[in-house]
Amino acid sequence: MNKPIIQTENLNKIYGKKIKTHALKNVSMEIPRASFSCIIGKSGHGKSTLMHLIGGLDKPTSGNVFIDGINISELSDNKLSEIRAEKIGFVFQFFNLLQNLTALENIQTAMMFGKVPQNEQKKKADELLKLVGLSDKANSKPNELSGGQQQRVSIARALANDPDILLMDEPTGNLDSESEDEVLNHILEIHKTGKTIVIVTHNKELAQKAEIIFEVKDGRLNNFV
Amino acid sequence: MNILKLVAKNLFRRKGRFIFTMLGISIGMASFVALLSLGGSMRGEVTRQANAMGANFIIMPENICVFNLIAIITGETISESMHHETFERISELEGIEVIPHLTQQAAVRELRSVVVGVLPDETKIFREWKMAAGEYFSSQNENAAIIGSDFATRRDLNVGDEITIRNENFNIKGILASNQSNDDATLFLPLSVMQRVFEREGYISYISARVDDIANMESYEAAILGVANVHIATDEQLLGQVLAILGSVNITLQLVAAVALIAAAFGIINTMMTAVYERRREIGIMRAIGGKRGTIFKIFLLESGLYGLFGGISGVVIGLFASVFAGEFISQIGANDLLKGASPEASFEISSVLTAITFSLVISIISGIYPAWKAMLLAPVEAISYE
Repeated sequence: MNKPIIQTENLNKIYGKKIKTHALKNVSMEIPRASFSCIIGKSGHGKSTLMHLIGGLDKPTSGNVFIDGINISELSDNKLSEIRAEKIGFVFQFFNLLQNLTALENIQTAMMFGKVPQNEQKKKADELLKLVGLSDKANSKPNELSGGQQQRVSIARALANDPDILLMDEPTGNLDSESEDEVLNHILEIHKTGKTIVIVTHNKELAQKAEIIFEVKDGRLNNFV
Repeated sequence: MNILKLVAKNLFRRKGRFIFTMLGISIGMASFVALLSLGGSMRGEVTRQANAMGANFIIMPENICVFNLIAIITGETISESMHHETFERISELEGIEVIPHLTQQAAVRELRSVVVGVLPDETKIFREWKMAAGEYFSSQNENAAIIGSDFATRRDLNVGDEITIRNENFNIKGILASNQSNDDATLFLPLSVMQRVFEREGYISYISARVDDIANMESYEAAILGVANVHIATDEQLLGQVLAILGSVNITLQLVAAVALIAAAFGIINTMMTAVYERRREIGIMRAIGGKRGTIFKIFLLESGLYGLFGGISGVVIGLFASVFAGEFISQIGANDLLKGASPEASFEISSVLTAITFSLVISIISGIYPAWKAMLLAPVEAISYE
């Protein structure tokens, strides 16, 4: 197995000050480079919290997260933003596209944060839209797109800065079955290009396609390959 | 994509809110510019009027109030007066050319008007008057009136028309050619007629004086004070004192405008705070896909700054127009033509326009700091989770 690109050590996350909720308890995990993993579990058991910590969107109460050997738990906010821009691509359940920008502009905005020069942005964004089969929707705004199309734009945006890792939170959770298959096929295609894919889901069918499955239960981690 | 493009898209997506917030700063700036411009034009006009008086110095009643100095320049009524014999004593001095004035106000054709009594022959020479229409006074106590060109236009008067001043009828005998001074907006009567009509026999308001040798001003002053108890001010002193008064009026006007600007600044803060609250999710998304705190701060600060830039530019334009119209209006209700020369070119220079726009920009950027700071501090995960 490849060297881990994502690694956590005794990760704990406690929410609240007066009433404390122990969302994650001593989670240690390793995700190899270029692998396809799923984190499954019931709602409220801590799988999204785990994804937020791995993606550097939130800081652990204790423990460490390593991305490509870098301990991101110790990084400044600016450095963490750089890691998010360059090494990680996010796909969310509710797509999270910027509503007043077109599909193309949404991808270009991610490129702007990843310091891609302006004159290269358009060409690259066009290529990504072609990859997800939405070349004809470049100038459509999110509200002019179907759920499946929005999620494909969101995948294209996640790939904007050619990151090593794609973190996806219930990427098919808000889609009909036809769109779900379409999005899933794109994800599998992208995995073939050597990207590390981590999907948080409670969809068992989707999880079956993964190489590694982690199950989060009551904030604790069980992994089974 | 770049930050400016992103900001522009945000700014124009809610056009109504953009326009109303911008109008706030625009109106604040407009009042600031209009008042500044009015002040500037008053200053210019006072200087012009003073120069057009053609006198080296003015001799006034001894106990004159400093505020009456403005009245002398603008031709308003002066509360104090002096005896005609004071004038006669001074006129006997060597090397000094003097002319007396008696200024009063009266309603002519239902408009407040400045009426000045003069010695016809002496004043015509002293002021170098020329006629535009009709004829000049033929004697020192003729029952007729001579009017300035603006005075005629504003009241629709022509040579031969009859007017009534304090229940006495006068014919307009002639209209003076414009000399770009307050004379243009004044009605002149022979001094003796004026004194009788206004029941001020034996009194005058002030004396304009011109000397042969301005370098010997001190000796002339001594000579005048030797024969009369009066207050003497050179035209420069007079101008300096009046401008000082106008300066303090200007500062007061600017303070009023500053209050309007502060109100507009709070308008921007309010709009930006609302924008930050509404766009929490967007901020979270931008942070998640790699936007740094500094970038979020910049985006919101720039947005706020653009309100100032657009508001400033439109405010300056509105303000300059307003100053011209307000100047015209004030000069109509206030008998004198102190503000009639108000025009954008004359009173508000390019450097002042740039200063005003920069000022508006700075105010709006300062207003944007707190909202931008709040936006920057939003945690990405908290913002994304927000529904």
